[in-house]
Amino acid sequence: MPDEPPLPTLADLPIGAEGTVVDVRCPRPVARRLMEMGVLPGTRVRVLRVAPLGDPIVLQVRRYSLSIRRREAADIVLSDVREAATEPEPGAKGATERGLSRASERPAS
Amino acid sequence: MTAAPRLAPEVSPAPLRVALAGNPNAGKTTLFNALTGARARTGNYPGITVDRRTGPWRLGEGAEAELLDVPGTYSLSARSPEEQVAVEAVLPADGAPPDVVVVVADATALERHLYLALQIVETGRPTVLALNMMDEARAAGIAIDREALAEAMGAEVVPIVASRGEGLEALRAAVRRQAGAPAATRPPEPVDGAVADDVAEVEAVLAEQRPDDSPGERRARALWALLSLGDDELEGVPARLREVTDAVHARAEAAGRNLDREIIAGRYARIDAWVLAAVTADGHGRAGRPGTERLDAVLTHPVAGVLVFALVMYLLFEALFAWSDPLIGLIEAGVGWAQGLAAAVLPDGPLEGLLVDGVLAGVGNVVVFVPQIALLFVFIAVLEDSGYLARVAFVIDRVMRGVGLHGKAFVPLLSGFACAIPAVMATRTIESRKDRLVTMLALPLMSCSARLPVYALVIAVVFATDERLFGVLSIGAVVLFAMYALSVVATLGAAAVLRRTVLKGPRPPLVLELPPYRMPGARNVASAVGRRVKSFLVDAGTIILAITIVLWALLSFPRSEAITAEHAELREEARVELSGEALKARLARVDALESEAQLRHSAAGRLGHFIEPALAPLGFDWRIGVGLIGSFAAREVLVSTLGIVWGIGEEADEESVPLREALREAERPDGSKLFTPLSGLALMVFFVLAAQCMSTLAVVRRESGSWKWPLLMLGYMTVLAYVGAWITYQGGQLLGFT
Repeated sequence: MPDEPPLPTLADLPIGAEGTVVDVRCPRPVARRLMEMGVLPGTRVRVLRVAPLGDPIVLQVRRYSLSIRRREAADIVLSDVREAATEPEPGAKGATERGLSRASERPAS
Repeated sequence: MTAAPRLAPEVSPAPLRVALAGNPNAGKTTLFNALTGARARTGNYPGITVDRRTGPWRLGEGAEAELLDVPGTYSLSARSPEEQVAVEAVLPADGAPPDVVVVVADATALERHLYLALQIVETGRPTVLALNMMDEARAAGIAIDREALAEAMGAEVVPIVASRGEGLEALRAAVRRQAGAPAATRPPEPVDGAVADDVAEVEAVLAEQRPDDSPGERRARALWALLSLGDDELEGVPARLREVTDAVHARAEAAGRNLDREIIAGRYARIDAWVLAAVTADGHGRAGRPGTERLDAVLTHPVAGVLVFALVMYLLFEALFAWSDPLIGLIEAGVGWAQGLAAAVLPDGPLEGLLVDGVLAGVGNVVVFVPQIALLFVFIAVLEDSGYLARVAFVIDRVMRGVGLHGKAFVPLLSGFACAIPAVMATRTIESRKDRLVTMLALPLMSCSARLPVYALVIAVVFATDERLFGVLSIGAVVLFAMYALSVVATLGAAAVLRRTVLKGPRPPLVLELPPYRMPGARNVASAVGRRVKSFLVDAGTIILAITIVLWALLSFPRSEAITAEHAELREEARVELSGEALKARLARVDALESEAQLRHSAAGRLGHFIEPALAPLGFDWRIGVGLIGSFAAREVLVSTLGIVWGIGEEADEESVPLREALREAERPDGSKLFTPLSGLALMVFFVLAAQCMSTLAVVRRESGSWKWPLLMLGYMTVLAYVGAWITYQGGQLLGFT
């Protein structure tokens, strides 16, 4: 992509990484559904796993697992991205590094 | 009845009306079954395919309640009539709201479950929160201060474990208390800052339209309108309410505000405050569920997950094909026995025909589907309750997305290989109405098992068994494979086209909860299977029975007395000339010839002649036309109908050598062979693509809620079949094949 968005999106996150939702930019019905299911600005979300064919992905949000497609995930803008504390996933670097520098939280143990 | 029972002098008060609401996967169905036992009744909401379940609930101390099972939902905002059912249950546009609402919540994922609970509290109805799965919550290190939560919410809070029946007594007591409490006119739930003015504006309109609403109801209705209206498919919403909602949204948008977000965030802020006051979780609660995590590591693994997926789907397939087979055989044998008995007892004539070939055959046509429906729904109920069905959708979604479908469409489509009837019923697991319609309209193109006898017969007639392609491949196997491939391509293509035309809409997003794995309960599974079988027998079964009788009449009437008399003479002659085995054979032959002659004379025979000009370009003649009419009862009936047309008798099956011989010998008026490889292929292509199955139409009528969709299906599939067969036959001739 020539001009990347200033903030990372959920679609950029590797497995195990987490971030704080800043904006949900999906079309209204999808955004409303996601927000009603707890994916709101200020909510911490973590990528739990990815489907065998690479899409969709599973999020951990508000103590439950929610699956969405990358297309929707790409509309969910994050801040305070933090890589997985352990076992970094190969092939999923780059996009999160900017977010990492912004991360204010210390990894919980 | 002569003496009506006297009414008891002390008339018991009308039962309380209690609504049972909850998120999907909250354990609501388990709780409903535990509370009402086997006394629940299932009905329909008119026009939509949502079951309406109610059941009596004994509250103790002489109190009775009528418990309404509200469809599982994450929220009371609604964009479709299906979603609106849950809203109507607690906030009805007409009629009285429920006396008490019980909200079931999964205590292990309380925040999200409280979102629905908060919306119920907003309506101002007396509310009881049933905190389900408290055992799992405790194990996960989550402690909930019941009193603090009740205080914060302004509702009763009762911890339960629905699967073990724990806490139900306390739940009864809480409902009794809430019902007995004076109709509290509690102030509406507060809304924050900027939204307050917007909500007030909508409330002002609602106050004019519904002056009798309580302040709480008005607030809840205003929030519902603001979140639901705008891009919805709801009907009957007052125009004035739409106008004010649109205006408020437009104004907020112009000011750079997002009302949806503000309302939802405000609600979650309140929920966070409740949780802060009442819930303490030690560290390991946050880590999720170790059991589910470990299982998912395998079940959604790129290799192991796909293998398990394939294995589970294979088992489902095996169940639908192999396990159901003995049961279907048993039912067919039973119906055959009953038909034989009726034929032996009743005098020959139209009444015998009506009962044997109309009514009993029709009952058989209905009941024969029960084993596959029951087995499929046992599978689906177990997969759904265990949490794996959501993983099936998750694993296969990437593939289904390509044709504009949802991962949840996979199980219905796969089941279509066995039979479209249970497969259409299985589309209920798909939430979005459009997705469900696309799936149910496309899946009858999947090559079901009833088409197999047709392929088998035609292939045996037009291809030599020892014919090989490239020296190794049996031509029959190649053709059979091609028919299945065509059916899959046609199904996916039809889905993609339907999605872009009649059922156009934004591509449905996947927002799918992956619930924790849990052990499915036998009672839930049995209840779900029983409901589906009953719904099929009652709603689709009656249509199937009626059409069977109509088809029987078409194939039997009018009868020709001349033909009857002529064959009676032939029988007499045979009895004079022959005896023993020879006589038996001759009589059977005469019977077959009489059936053939009568069929030719019947309405269906004439109809076959009538449509012959239309069938000729496909390489079919009137006799195949009669077969097509007969096979509307069920595709495999083509074989026995051809048996009658060619005078072999209706007992002929696809293995019947005389029938194969007769078809091979069959000629057109010009002396050329009727069944050539090319006309055979055209016939098979026709069967792959045609909606030759009244039962499918009946069940689509049942599941779509109107005749519009089955008629659309019949129309598009017939056109597709005609064009497909035409291209095959005409194209083949152009290329020089015969």
